[in-house]
Amino acid sequence: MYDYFFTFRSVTSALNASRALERAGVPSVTVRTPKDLRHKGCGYSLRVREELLPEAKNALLSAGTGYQKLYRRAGGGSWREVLA
Amino acid sequence: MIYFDSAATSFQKPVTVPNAVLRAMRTCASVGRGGHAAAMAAAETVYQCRVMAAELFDAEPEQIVFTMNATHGLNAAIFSVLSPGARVVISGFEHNAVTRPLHALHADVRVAGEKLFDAENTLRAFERAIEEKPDAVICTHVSNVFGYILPVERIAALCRARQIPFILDASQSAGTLPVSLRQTGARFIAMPGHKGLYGPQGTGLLLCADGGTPLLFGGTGSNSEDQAMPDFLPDRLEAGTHNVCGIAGLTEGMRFVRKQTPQAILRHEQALLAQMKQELSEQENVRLFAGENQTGVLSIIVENKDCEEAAQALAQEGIAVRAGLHCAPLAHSSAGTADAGTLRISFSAFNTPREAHRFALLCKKLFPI
Repeated sequence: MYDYFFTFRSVTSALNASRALERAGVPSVTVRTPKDLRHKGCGYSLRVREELLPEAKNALLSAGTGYQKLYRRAGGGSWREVLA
Repeated sequence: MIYFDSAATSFQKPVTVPNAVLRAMRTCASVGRGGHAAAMAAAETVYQCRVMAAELFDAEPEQIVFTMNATHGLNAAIFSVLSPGARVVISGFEHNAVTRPLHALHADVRVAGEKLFDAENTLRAFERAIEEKPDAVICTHVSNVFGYILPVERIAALCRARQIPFILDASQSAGTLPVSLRQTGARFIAMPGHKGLYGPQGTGLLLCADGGTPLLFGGTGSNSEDQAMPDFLPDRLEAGTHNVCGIAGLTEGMRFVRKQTPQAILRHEQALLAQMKQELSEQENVRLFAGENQTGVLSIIVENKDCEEAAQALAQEGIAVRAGLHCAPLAHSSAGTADAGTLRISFSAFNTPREAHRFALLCKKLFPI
């Protein structure tokens, strides 16, 4: 399941990060940021699988591609922020 | 038609350019305005262009801002850097896209370097002018009238050493000369998409070292709850829906430039220039503006012939050139051609030696001594 969401301030930042993950062999899906995760309004997120989370974080770190926040989809439609 | 007006707009484009425009029109919606397939196709299309431009001009994708044309980019740059009454140093070969915004700002403008094809003279003039620590230096890379290549790398270095913001107008150089945001340390570099990058009209790029002041305010698909424009690039300078179809075409134009290589395109154009100079020099009533440091742009004056009438006569024979002041009265003042104007021949990657020869033959026929 793609249950982890890296949020980005713009579609350009999200696509930059998506390319970085692609280069690292980490599949991701670019989506609009869910309403509950938004910071100041519209944005885009990358959904990543749980088992690839460490690789994803490393890839973004190595590429210097910052994200706003990282969330995990919890039960009952709620979200939990994942702190570094 | 023989098209020698590429300094205004390159007319012959790689076939991949219109194909990409059409494909985008059929598959793309608007960037950053949704998560559905058509919106994401638009986002991918525009992002690809940013990446390609970033690679070509030594920048990061976020530093690439899409504009309507170079004039749009120069306005954004000038109004970002300068306040009303600011002190500015410009070259003697600037286009109205630079001088009119400065006029609108009531800027205190000092012109440096008015001698054609003399890079050392130009550099010394800039050295003297920036001793007064202006608020910015703005310089064209290549004169759109005469094809004179200005020593912008060295002018940029002078600005870096003195921490003076530098704005480069790469309208006539993007696609043929090296243009690097990182190496010049320019605050902004503006360029059109529709000239040497072989993209569609209505496209342009502004390379931004960091932020800028928006000319337009509105939707960006980001930070929507905030009434202030986003403080990050490229969104800060890209309000409203992008010209997605044009940008798709621009990507293919840049792909063509990368494949040919800017150096090879320049060599090709300069070879045509050399041939044209050689053939026209045999005609005593034609004055050529030629020298060192010249791209594939050549201005001429036919003695006792109005340049507009000369261009019209050539147009009737199927040859497209441009006559007059070329929106650059300052350049003509510097060269002493403000009264007469010039007839400008400008080449692209698609021109041939046979076309240059045909032009020279026609000049002999139409403008006999």
